Amino acid sequence: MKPMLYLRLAAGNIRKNRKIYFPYLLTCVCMVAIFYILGFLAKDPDVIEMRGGRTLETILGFGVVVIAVFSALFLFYTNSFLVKRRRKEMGLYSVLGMGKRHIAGVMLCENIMIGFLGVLFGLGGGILLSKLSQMCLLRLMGNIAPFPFYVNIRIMLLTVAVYGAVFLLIYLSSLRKLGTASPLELLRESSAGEKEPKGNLPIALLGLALVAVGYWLALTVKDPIEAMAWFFAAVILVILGTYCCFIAGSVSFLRLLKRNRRYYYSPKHFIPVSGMTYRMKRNGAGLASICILSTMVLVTLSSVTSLYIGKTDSLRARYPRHIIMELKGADEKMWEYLDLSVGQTLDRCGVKSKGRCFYRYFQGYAAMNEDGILDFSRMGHQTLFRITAVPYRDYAAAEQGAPLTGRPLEEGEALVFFGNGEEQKTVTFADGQRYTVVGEADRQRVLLTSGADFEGQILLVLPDDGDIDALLDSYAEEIFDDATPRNPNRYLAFDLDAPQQTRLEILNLLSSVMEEYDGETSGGYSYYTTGSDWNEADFFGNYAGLFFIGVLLGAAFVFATILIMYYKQITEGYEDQSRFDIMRRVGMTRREIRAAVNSQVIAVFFLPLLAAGVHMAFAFPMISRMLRLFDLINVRLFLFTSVLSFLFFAVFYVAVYLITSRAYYGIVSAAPDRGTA
Amino acid sequence: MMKILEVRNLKKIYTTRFGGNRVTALENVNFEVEAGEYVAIMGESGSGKTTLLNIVASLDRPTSGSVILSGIDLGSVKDKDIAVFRRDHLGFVFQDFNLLDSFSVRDNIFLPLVLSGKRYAEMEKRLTPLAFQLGIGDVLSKFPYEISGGQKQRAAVARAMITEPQLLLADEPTGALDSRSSEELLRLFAELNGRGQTILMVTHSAKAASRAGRVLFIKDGIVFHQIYRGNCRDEEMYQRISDTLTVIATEGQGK
Repeated sequence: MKPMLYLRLAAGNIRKNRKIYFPYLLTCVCMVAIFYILGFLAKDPDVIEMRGGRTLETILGFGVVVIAVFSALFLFYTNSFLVKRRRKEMGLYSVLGMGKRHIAGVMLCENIMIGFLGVLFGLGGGILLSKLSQMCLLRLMGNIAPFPFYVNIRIMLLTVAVYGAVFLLIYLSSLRKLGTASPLELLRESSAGEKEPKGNLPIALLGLALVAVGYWLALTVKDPIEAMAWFFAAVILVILGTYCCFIAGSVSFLRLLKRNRRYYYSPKHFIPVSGMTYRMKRNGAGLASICILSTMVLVTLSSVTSLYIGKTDSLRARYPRHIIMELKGADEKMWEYLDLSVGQTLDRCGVKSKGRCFYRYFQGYAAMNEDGILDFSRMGHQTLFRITAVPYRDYAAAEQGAPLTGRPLEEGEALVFFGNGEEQKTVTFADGQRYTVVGEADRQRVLLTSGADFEGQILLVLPDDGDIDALLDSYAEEIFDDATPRNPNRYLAFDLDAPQQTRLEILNLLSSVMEEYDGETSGGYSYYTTGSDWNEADFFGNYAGLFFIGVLLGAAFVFATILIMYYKQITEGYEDQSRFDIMRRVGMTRREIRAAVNSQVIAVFFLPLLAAGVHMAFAFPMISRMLRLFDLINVRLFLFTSVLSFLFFAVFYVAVYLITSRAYYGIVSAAPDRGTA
Repeated sequence: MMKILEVRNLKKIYTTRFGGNRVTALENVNFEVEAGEYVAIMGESGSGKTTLLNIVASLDRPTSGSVILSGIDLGSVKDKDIAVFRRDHLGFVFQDFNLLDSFSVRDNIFLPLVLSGKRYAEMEKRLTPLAFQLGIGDVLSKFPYEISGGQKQRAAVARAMITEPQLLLADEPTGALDSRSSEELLRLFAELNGRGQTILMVTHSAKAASRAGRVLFIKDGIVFHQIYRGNCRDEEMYQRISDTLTVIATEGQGK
């Protein structure tokens, strides 16, 4: 055969099967476009040179890999639908005398055409949209300067290479699928009877148990760091459980319903229940995948949105003041010098400070033994507490936080705050220091940030500077094996009444202020300056990047879900066509058939969405704890974005349902019928 | 005797999609079927016999003319009631069985009863003697793909008969069966007819038609000829049918 004939046949095939090829092509186009856009942005000099651009580059680069892997998997999956639908056609070709080699030739042409069109339009769309997405991203990061339009040739070539490889692999796998079947098998395949699905009750129960354990983990883990680790365990359990439940559980459940004669043998349930048994057997895995995919989309969308919306609050939570200074292990003289220099610098710049917070403190890590005694020596295996101890006079002098109540502390008394909500009557250290708890310490007063290790924080307010010194000494002795007396640490933080540019200048000046100290420095002193402005760009860059990627990947996932749904409906439609006809002949009205089929289609369609919603609800506490690692403490914001994402997704889903079910009914009622004549 | 079915001046013209070709499937068909009769309709492929059956079955509408079933003109039944009418008055047996593969044999047979909202006990009561008569008592719990063609067709007969229809319609019922199963199915039809069941069967096979009480021959959309059994035996009937078919065939050639 001549190559031209291959091409003509291939083109004809694609045109004839456009109902199934068009969505496939559209997916290719979208995946290619998203790939190009992400790659383009990751290498865009304007993006990289922005403050926070470096972190963004890493995130975008990661996104490129994710989208490449995902689109490869997804295109494989959809292609298997196509191949399955077309096996009969291929069988016909070989009966008509085309050798396997010829069929392979036609398929190669088809694949090249689809691949070529997909990459061409994808790149075209990607290039056109790259400018728009660049502007969106820069806008998200708070930048509005205009940038020139250009095409990144290297990324273009990379896109062509990656998707060329993907299409080659797809071609090889479909060849393999056809290569193993004889023509007669190919022709007959769809008419073979199907065994009645046997529900596997043990697996169904196992699935339920897995999901339950996953949920239990998600609900009970309190510590965000621990949550991060357990999260993956929980996710894997729930994924496995979901698959078991959808594949075995659904069929077992339907078989139970079948056993109930009164229920089963009624006009309303008879056909849906038995039909569902087969549908779930065929589609259980697919539906479980859709459920997992939807859950991922929802979780991603809701968390990146809440992170992005809450970024200003998160920044403030991590860096509560414009300027934050810590001077550790320095003596009184050095502190006086620092305090003076700060004052002078501010005066010189003509800027006033506000919200000043100063305190001396001790900070160290300790394990808590069985008797509730805090022990500095037992580090390593147990959960550690980070202890911050502050003398009462600094605590009382703080301007922020709730007004002080109660009398000053007497000797041997303490105010305590446990991050994990624990309550104790006394606080005892292994070296013998012992305090009676007389009230709760207000962590706002010392701007104790509620970051990642929030659960492991202990704030102690002790009566006197001497108590702090004692802790310092015993800590040094235990950890550094050094008995020389220690100087207390000092914390100083304040806001500046000035625009950001000035604030940054002052921050820079202050960060080097100790270098000019010409007095004698005490041995192990350290000086550390930071502030919200320094970190803002990185912070916002991170969150804007996450948001951008989350939305793009979310869009890709949603697209994938829609397409899988569409193909499922189409495939089901062709399978149901003959059934529909039989039902009509034995005397079912159109309305009855439609009702029976409708209830199945709706169940198949909305079961994954429902399950995704439940998964998301159970994941909520764990994810909101994990978001604390990103300094997002606003649970209500996360709740809001979660509900919003779900609603948004559900609207999309319903729209897809309406569109695909129309296609479905179109196919199913294509059978000859007096109603349509 | 009571008339179950009257077909009057039936005409059916198919028009291709763009109205170009008009194909006359039925020109002018007239016949009657009385209660308890066993009528076979014969004709070559494309003679319009399946169209006729589809119109009688109310699966298709005639271009003109009328079909009156138990005194009810099918043309006067509304579209939305037609399925229920079909379910209550007619039973069907098809060449390719038309069993639903997602139901067990029992559930396939119950299907029309379930749709009319019968109670399970009532369904069982009707099924037991029928299954016995049709010899499918031991395959009721099996699925269509697990049983033989003959059993499938008998299950389809059971599904058609369980509603106690006034008229049993059969479209090439032996078409997909081997000779033994065919023989058995025809014996069953004769037995059902012997108990008073009215049967209208469309068939190609002279053998199948030779078991009927009357045979109508359709050619070019009209009833071309009829043979009444009278008192003759199956073999004689078979001979007469064969002769008629030969006449039809040679006439066709002569044109």
